[in-house]
Amino acid sequence: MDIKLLNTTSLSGASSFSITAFTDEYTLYGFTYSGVQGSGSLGLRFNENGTPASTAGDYSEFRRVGTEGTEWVDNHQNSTADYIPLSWISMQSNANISGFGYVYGSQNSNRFTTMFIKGVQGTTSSVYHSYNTGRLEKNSVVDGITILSSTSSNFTNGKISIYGYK
Amino acid sequence: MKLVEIKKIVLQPNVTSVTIDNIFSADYDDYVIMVDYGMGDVPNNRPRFLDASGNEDSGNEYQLHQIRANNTGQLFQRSDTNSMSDMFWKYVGNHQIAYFYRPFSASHPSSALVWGIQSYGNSYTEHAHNHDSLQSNRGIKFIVYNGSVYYNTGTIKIYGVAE
Repeated sequence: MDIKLLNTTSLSGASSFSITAFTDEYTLYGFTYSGVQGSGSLGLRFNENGTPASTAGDYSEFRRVGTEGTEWVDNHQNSTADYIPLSWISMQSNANISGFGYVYGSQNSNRFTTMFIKGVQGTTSSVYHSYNTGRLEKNSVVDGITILSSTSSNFTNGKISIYGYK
Repeated sequence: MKLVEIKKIVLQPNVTSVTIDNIFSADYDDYVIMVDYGMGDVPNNRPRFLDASGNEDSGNEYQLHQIRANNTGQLFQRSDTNSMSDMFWKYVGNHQIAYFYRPFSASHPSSALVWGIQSYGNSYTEHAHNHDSLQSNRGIKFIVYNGSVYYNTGTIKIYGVAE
C-alpha cells in the first residue's frame, strides 16, 4: 500500500479551513488530526468545486462515545445536519481532540461521499472515546473538506493531515 | 505517512519495571508505540508518564475507556486512577499498538488510542486514554503493580509520526 501525504494544515487563527486535496488519482483518502483546541463544536463539511456543502439536510451523522464513567452514549441526525461532528463535546482551549478518519466515494459522481473517524478527546478531567460517521447526501464529486467551528470561533491549536491511499 | 523509530527495547528476564526516558520531544507531535509478544507471562502492567524532569507521574490523573470483546460478548473497563490501567495487556502472545497524541506538549492533555489482540482470554481490546494534566511528558515507565510479577519477554518499539 502506498500512502501519500497530500496536505497538512495548521488549525489556528481562523474559524474554518478549506482544504482541496481530493482528485481522481486516489479513490480512498484518509486524514489524521491532533491537538485541536478552540471553542464550539468541531465539524467537517465536504467541498464541491471548492465550496462546502452547508445546507441543513446535506448530511446524516451518527456518533457513539464512551468515557471513564459511561459505557456508551449515542446520537445521530438523519438527513438534517449541516455538518458532520468530529467530537462529542465542544472544543476547549485546554483540551486535546485527536484521531484519524477515512473518506470513501469522493470521486464518484453517482454515490454519496461517506466518512468514518475514530477519535479521542482528552480534557483536564475526562476522556471521550468516540466513533463518528457521516455522509454527504448528494451524488456528487467531492474535492476536499472544510474543518470548522460551529460557533465561528477561531481555532487556537491543532493540525490536520490528508493522505491518499493506493 | 512515515514512522521514525526512536527506540526499541527487547525485554530481559525478571525486570520489575521498564523506564523509557527521553522518547517524547519537540521533534514530533504524535507517536506510535508497538508492544509485541506480551512483555510477560502474568497480566499485570500499568504505564505512567515521566514528566519534563523525568519524574514518574503517579497522580490520580489517568482516565480510561476500554472495550474488550471475546467469544462471550463485550466488556467495558473504565477508570480514573494513578496509571494507564491496562493500556498494554501483559501476557505472552499479546500484541498491541497505541497512538499517543501530543505527550510532549505542555498545553495539551496527553491522549491515546490503543488496539490489542490478547492471547490471554482470547480477546480484542480497543480503548482510549487520557492524562488530564497540562504538562510536558518526556517518557513512559512500565510498572507491575505486584512486584513479584516480572517483565520477561517481547519487544517495545517507539516511533515518531513524521508526516
